Amino acid sequence: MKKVHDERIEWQRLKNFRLAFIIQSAGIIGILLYHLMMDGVMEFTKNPLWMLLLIVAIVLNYQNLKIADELEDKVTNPGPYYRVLIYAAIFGVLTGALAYFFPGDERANAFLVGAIVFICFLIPFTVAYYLLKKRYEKTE
Amino acid sequence: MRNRVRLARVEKDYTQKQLAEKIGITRQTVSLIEKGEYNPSLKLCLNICYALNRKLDDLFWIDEGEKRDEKGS
Repeated sequence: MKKVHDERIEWQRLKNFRLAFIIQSAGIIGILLYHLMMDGVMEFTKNPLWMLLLIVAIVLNYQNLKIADELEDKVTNPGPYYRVLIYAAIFGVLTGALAYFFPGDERANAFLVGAIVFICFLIPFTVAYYLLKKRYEKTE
Repeated sequence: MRNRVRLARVEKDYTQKQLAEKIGITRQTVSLIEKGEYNPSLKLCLNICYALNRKLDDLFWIDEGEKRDEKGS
């Protein structure tokens, strides 16, 4: 029997997924708000649902970046990738140094803070870099 | 959107089910396309044309004036 790849059904299925996603997200937000009111902010952020909500929001925004229309008409060459590494390292070192000299904080944490900031800058910069590079290569 | 799929299918002596099986879609989708209640992708339009041995223009082309009339009604 020939396999049916019906685009109308696939489209409808996507719409159903969207509805399920909306209901699920509303449920998660409802549960989190309940926790926030009952247990306070500290307990609220410990809830794994909060982490799940953050991960979903990050993934969704990265995916949306791919389909976003260019704001500028002119697409410029993003240059070599090591510049991204340097920028992320600068942010990491600066934040690490601030944490190191910040009074009252444990100095051992400074390295950790710097490393986290480095990674947090590196990932979005890398994604943006590859998107720009792809766009530039397409327009060339 | 209006089209001439039903006419071409009847001329070819196919049932909706036969045409659907030939293309690999469901009978309901063929029915909705014929009624103009579902707008198929270009890929599906081409598959319909191949199955019915017709050109894209024969089945799906609508003159600008005709389209305006359709919108108005």
